[in-house]
Amino acid sequence: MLYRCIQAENRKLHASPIWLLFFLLPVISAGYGTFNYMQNLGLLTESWYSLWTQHTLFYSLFFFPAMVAIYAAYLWRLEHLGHNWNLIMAAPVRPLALFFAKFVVVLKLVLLTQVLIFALYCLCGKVFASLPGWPPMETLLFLLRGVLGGLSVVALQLVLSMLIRSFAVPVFIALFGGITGMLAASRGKGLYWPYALMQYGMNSNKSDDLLAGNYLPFLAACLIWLTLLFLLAQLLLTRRDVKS
Amino acid sequence: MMRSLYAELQKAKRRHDLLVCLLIPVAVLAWAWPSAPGGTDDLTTAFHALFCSLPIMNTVLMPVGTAMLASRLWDVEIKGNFPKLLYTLQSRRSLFTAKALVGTGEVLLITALELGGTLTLGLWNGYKDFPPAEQLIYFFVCTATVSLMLFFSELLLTILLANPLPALCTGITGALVGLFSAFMPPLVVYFVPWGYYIPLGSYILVSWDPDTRISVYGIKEFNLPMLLWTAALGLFFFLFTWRSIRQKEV
Repeated sequence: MLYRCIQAENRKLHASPIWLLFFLLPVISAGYGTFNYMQNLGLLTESWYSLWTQHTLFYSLFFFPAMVAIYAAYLWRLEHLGHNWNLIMAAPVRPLALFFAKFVVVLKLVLLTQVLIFALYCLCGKVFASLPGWPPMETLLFLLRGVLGGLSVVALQLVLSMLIRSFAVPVFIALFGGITGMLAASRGKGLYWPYALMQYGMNSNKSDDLLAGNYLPFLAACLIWLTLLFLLAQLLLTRRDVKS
Repeated sequence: MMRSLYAELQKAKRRHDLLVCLLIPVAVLAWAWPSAPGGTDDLTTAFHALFCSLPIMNTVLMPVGTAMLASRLWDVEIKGNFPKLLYTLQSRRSLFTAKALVGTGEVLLITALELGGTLTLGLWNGYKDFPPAEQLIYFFVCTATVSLMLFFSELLLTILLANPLPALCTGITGALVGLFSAFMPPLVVYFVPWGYYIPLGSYILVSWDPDTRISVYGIKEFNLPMLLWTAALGLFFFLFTWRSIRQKEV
């Protein structure tokens, strides 16, 4: 049944305008990052690492949560229309399977976005910045850590979009969340706030590794937040009455 | 007309729009509060520093914030499949006027709350360079004009495409491009309407010494031609939105 739910969620993405955002944001981010890198070669002296910070800084601070919020809100939008809540809650599927299917589909989009980010990073580094060699393996690790940190943002945005019937409000909350994440991370409290985890993982604003020697607390924070949010989703879907 | 406006206000009340309007200035202040000068910082130019950073914050938050307001205004009709009903039961002029008035009121309220919150934050921290009245009025007019221009452009998108998604995607992409334009050569920002908060700002960073970390702030002349251009662009989007409602097929 879970597989069918995932298939149904995937179908919503066919010919969806979401793909435009999926391509546009990373391309703009890469274009600006490369331009800024080329303009500041005197200050940005760490080759591929410097290009990485320029490519991913604003993306991971502000726009990743907002993009995930749009993906999540889009998948919940159909449920909020008409009497669809009654329909899905009466379907012979466990309520958490509905949530989990949406989680898998948003995660797929996040993974594809990260792959696009990395492809553009390599392309811009070789073609426009003419950097020597290939990107360091650490940047691939940063991407993977970004996905791990992003899992809790995905779950949180799905919970918010499930609760809030408006399409737009969770998107603004995500942007606000990105800002609070940035503030929490700058004060070293990032592990306590889900929106900061992705920023920690991506290592976008420093050449030194933010997580050096701190992998265990980071992984624990990701796992705890994810578990808490899934429990919350389960509780809301099973105990809360449907409003349609 | 008054009945249409009353109906829109009732819808706004049911949608908790006041709470949503509060969310935007709260987001700006939550960002400004920790980064605002305080404690041992130089408080004689602290308001300068605060008003210098506000346009950047507005560039990130307001395109998405105004898209949220615009899409909520029209999405309520799309969800219930009401446009058909409204177009036939009431005059299109009164429908558009009521929506435009509520949206304008929300944008003005957000701008006033943001300005009021910023001044309170400065006074709370004991800043000594309270801005002159003309600077406050200019800041209010510029922020409101750019926000209204963005609001009507996003309302237009929501009405034309009968979906909140394009307006929000445009808002997010616009915020990203607007933010980038702040770090590009000065000419670029004039071509990016989402970033118009920045060239319209009168408080500027004159110099920053990386060794001593001392920033020098200044006030530049009001950019009235740019303000007029923004207002004209806003008027264009307003008229285009009105035209799209007037010509929409039922």
